[in-house]
Amino acid sequence: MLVFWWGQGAAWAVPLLNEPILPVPECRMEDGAKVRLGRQLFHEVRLSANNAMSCATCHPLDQWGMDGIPHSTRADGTLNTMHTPTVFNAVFNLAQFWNGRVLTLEEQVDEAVRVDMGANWNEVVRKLSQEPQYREEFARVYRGGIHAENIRNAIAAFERTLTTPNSRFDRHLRGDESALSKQEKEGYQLFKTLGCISCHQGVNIGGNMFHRFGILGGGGEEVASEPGELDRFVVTGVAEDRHAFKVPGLRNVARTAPYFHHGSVATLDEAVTIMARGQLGYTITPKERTLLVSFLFTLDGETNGDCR
Amino acid sequence: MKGIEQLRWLGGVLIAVIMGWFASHSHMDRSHHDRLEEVVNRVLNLETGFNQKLVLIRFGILSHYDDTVTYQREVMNALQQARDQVGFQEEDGLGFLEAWRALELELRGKLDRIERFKTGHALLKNAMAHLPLMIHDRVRMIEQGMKGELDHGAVRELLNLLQEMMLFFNRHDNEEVLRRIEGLLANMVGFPQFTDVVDDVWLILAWKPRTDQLLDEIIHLPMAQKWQNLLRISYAHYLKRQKTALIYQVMLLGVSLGLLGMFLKVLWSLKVATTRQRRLQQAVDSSGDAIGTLDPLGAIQFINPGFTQTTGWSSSDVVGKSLHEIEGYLQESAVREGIRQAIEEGNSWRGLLSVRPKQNGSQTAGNICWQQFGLTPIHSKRGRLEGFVMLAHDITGLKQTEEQLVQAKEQAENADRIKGVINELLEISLIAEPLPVILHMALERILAISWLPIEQKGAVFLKDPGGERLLLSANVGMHPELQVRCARVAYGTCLCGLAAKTNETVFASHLDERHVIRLKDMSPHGHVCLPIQSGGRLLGVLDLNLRDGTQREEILEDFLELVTTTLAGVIERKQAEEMLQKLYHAIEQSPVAVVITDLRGVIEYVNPKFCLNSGYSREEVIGQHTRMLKSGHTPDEEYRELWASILQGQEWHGEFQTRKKSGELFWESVSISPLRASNGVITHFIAIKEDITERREIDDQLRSAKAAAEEANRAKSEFLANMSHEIRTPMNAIIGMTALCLHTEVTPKQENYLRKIERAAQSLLRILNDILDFSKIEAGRLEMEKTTFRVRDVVEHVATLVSLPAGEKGLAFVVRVDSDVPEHLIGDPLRLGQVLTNLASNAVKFTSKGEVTVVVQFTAKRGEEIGLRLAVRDTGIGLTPEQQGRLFQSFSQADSSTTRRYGGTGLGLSISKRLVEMMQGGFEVHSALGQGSEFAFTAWFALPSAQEVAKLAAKTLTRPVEAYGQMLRSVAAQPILLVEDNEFNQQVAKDLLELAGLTVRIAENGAEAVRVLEDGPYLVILMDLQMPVMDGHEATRRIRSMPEWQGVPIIAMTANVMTGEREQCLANGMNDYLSKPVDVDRLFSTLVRLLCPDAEALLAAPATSTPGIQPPELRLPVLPGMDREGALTRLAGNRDLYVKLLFRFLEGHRLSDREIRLALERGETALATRLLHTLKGVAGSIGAAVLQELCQEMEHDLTRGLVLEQERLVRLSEALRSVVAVVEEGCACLVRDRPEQGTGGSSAPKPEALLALVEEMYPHVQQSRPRPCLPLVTSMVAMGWTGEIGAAIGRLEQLLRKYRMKEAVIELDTLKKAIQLLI
Repeated sequence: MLVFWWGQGAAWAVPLLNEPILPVPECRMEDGAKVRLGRQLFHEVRLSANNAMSCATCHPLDQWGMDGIPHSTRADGTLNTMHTPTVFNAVFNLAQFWNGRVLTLEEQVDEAVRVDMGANWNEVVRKLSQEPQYREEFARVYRGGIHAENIRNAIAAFERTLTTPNSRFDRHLRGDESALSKQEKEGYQLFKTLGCISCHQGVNIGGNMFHRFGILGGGGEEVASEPGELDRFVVTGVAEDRHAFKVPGLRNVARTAPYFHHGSVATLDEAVTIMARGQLGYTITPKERTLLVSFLFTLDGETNGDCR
Repeated sequence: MKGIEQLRWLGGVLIAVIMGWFASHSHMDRSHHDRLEEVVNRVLNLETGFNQKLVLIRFGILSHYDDTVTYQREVMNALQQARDQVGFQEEDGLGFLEAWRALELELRGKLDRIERFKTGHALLKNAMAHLPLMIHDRVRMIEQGMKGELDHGAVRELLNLLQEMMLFFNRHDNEEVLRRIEGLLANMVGFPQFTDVVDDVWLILAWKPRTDQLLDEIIHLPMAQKWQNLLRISYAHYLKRQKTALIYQVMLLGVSLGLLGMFLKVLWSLKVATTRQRRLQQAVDSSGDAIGTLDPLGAIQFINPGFTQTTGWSSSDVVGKSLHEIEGYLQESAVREGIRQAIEEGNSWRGLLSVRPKQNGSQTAGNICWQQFGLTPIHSKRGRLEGFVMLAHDITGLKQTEEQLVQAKEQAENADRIKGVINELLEISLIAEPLPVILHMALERILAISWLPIEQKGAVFLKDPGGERLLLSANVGMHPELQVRCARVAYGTCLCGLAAKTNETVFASHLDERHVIRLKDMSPHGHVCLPIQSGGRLLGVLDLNLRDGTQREEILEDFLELVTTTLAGVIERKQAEEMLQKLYHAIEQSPVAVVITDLRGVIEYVNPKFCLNSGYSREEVIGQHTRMLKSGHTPDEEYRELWASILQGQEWHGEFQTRKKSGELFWESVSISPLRASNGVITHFIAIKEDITERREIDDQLRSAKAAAEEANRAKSEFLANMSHEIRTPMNAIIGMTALCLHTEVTPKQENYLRKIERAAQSLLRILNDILDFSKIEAGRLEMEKTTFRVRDVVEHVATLVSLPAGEKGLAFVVRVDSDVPEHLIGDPLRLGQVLTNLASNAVKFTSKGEVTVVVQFTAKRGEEIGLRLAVRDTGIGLTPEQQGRLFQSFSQADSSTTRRYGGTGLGLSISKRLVEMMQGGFEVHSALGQGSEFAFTAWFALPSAQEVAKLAAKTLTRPVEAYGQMLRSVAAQPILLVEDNEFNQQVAKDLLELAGLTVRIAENGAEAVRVLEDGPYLVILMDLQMPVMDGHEATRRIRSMPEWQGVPIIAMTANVMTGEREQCLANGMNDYLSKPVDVDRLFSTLVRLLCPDAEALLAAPATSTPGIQPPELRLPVLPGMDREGALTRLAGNRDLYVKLLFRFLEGHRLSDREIRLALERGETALATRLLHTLKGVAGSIGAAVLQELCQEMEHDLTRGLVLEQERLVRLSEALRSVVAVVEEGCACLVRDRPEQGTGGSSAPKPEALLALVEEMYPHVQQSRPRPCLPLVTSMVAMGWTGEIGAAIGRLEQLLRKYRMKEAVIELDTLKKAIQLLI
């Protein structure tokens, strides 16, 4: 009996319990037809006023869901005042946009189409209705046919599948001893002891709360806020919410430079340093920075997170 | 009245509106409330759970905020769902919407607080986490002796105190603790080292109460109360609605019942009125009388269909008009006046009208009709004139009937007279007299009619069945000359002819130009000629003479037509009767038996011939079933088939035996066919039976005569086959001896004679072969082989044979094989070649200049088969058509002069034709005298599979023995034990195996093999089966019984190819089986398979010819009549070995026949069998096929225990002698041609010396040291070898000089083997 137990025990992966970070679920069930339709719409340029821009223009799925530049250009040629975050794992966020002005992905789609892509919904519905394939698909999937609400729902349904499970760190959480190197494990430990974990926790390692940028000095002044910055204050009107933003999730953070709501920090090293000083009031040593960054690199997941 | 009606309608609409109102309010839906209840319950659960989670978060037990996100999502969702229930409560006045808005505000406040809590808590948690670390850090710094004027101990204590207080500090601690902390901090302010600690503590102090305050607020928010409030309002609303709905429901029910009652009443009265109205309407509509209504002024308001029917005026014509305005309606002025007055005064009027109906009315157009007319005024209840009803009854029919009655009476009198005539004619037809007599009587009766304007002259003509002519059949009062001239009247001639031609009555009141056949002084008269026809078919013509000047109206044409119709019936019936009579006689007097049965097979009629044949009288068989005639010898199945066939309406033919009354059987040929009624239904069967007993006897005789003839022919063919065989044997001698003689010293004159003898003998041999083939074909013994072959090989072989004589005659010989001809086919290449050779040599024979062309073409594909067309064209003498016709007859040539000029048996083409037919093909010849010929034939072949082609390729491309040698090298260290009693076979096997580098030990028989095995291990045992002392089977059993020899492979080698031999060998423990003469490839591949399975894969690879290893061409002896090439193939092309075998054969088997004979005389059958067996093997090895076959037959018969006749032994002796003679002759040539190979030549170099040099060279070559080799090879060259060995030495020298040592080793091997063969 004992032998048997040992034999089996060695092969078991024992998940780590009570960790502040949770692994990304392996798969998320969504309506397959909706998701397919949403995928098509996600790449549909007719959603924009100039017929040249789709969701994927600023959120290219093969580039970790974001365009990698500080500010994306809108359909009308103006620059976005905020840095474009990745679309991957957006489903885990408590609200959308840096200041969390909308709660659901549907509302996010609505605003992106109207503001960033400069379109009006009646026009979009008219353009899509000219396509027989869309008429057919919508009729099959939705009761109301081609309709703004249904378009938003389909895209949101598709976006809900855009998670990045199975990162090395998640495997570590699930008990795979060999998933992380010693240095990476140390990096995680430091991430916890320094207090980064206070805000960057949960499934998305962040994304579930708001916080002021540079609360312990440094960050706010060093990286000056820009005109037109949409902070939490815009939403709540409370003075203490000035310079407050949604804490971004750190999934795939190594792949989604540049950083912060203004996107003006190009490297992870720099971002980590600013965060430590601004949010923790702590000046980290190069060694600590190296450890932290090596941990952040373990957060790269697989980008085919939907159940296909 | 009208007012009440309107009021009623208004009431109905009002009630409906009220009902609608009630219905819309009586609807009661609980689902909104239920859903809300569900949402609220869910939220309350969620709230409770979430508050617990928040506490867990506050105390760091739950370390992430994901649950707050979930909560936010779910609670917002629930809020939205609650809002969705608002729909019906909007105007409720109970404040649901206000309550919901309050809830939303509260919830948003809560979510906002949660966010602030999270922010603060994160900060706090971080600060709390840092504090101990910082303090620990400072304490360590102090312990390490930090500079400064600090009281170390005090500071450390201070720090520890601070940590302790901070960590256990919570909201409920009193002001005291707070003050103390502030005191501690104040102490530290002076020290810059503690700035961050102080900052941290201040942060905690600032955020902690705030965070806890937020948590407290969140938890105590009256969320549940708000939600429940919402639910409560909803429920109150629900109750209110329920009450209202109930009231409305009751009211609705009451109103509905009232309405239903009203509705039913109205419905009932409506139904009664409608029914009454409908009945009235129907009565008016369906009345045949004309009915209408007029208004008080007399204008027509309405008319019924009867009016239209009787008068032709439709409603549209008359409505709105007065009666007087209808043209033709009121014709008489009295009537018009009367009616006008009646209308004016409002009185009724009755009277008779004669009406002229509307002109375009179809039914009564133009005819006056009579109406009984009535006009009646209608008054209202109050006596006011409302209008008139008019009713007119048509009485036209009555008036007409009156008139017709008068006419009918007149006609009835005529009809009686006509009926009398017709009846008399019909009576005449019943008299049993021939048709002309009947017709004559009928004619007389017709002419006797007094009430027709006819003279007493007339005739009846009948249609000539053979042509368009009328034949005079009966006449009355005709002039004799006229009778002659009218005996045959063509259609269209004279009046009767015209009637026949046109099929219409021809009438002439005078003699006119149509009357062609006339007499001189004819009295004037008229004619009526009526065609007698039945169903449109002309039967004849009735001709009556009329009184001159008769008008057509007078002749009562209808009556005369009736008469001809009656005559037609009479003629038809009479003719049918006569035909029936003929048929009856035909059957009655038929030379074959006829039986008619009903559908069950019960006989209804038999003819006298049947009675004669069967011996039964008619009375005995009629009513009986046909089975009474059964012989009992015909199988029931045949009867079943017969019945099945005829019941399906098909005819049945067959032969069977029938039983006579006397019991005697006789053969009948029977045809049974169904008889069908005119509607196609089968009613009877008719059997026509012919007695064929005699014919069958003749058939039997013919058959046996034919069999006898065939037997004789076969005997002849067999005789021929034997004869030719007998002739062949001496022919071999003649040819062989001639060849021998040619190799001796002869004068040119003698050589010329000898050459002629040789040619003569060869052609005699060809003739013999032809006869043999022909007789085989005749005897049906020729069988076509089915093997895979290359088409090109066959054609090339033909080319080799024919191109030489062609070349001698100066002819061009061209071969063309089309590219689409498949390379490999399945068929008989030998026979194909034979046909082609025959055609080609014929072509050469009959062509003196020009060319001979062989063309092979692909023609068609038929399933798996391929059709080829092979043609031979020449530019020779050509053939006349007559010659072409005789071409393929046996023993025939184009003409006898050809035979004289060109020779030949004339069998060639005949055989070729038969062979081609066996290849499913056919011959065609195109030729013109003097312009050359084309002989072409088609033949069909199967296509071989890739596997069969590979097998053929493997067979053709013989693997050099050396290649096997390389495969077997790994195991070559041990010797092979060859158990074989026959010296000759020993030689073959040993040499072959040694050629592959194997060592061979020989045991003479089984016993010796068992003994020899003791000496050491053997690789494999090759075991002959038939041996003296101990045979192969016994030896194998002994060997296998010894444990140490269990594993050694034993391969059986035997010339017995009987089935079952192989199985017996394997059962005895042998591993494999080879048949003799041993095929080299099979021998070695078997060895490789058994000994080195690793190398077996190599076997699968196609064998490639390895140039340079094969010895150069060695001239072989000419051996007429022997299969030299086949033998060589079996020896892997080793010519030297073959020559050696020939010599061994001469030494060892020259007298084998005597030994066999001796053994038989002594009764030692086993010995004789074995000797035959050995001789068979040897003969096979050297290619003496005839001898081999003879031995095999005799051996086979001996083993079956048969006694061999003397003649067969004589044949064996002759065959053996002939082979010996041929071989002797061939080998003699060999000795003469190659003196260096001679055994006794003193000048010849010594093989032993050469072998010594070769042995000396081996190690050097193997170790790639060319230097010591060169002097050795120089010595070899100096020995002056010529021929094969000389060439080998030359090649070796070249290789050594080029330092190609690996190839030199192989060459050395070859050389060594060549030498060993000599020693």
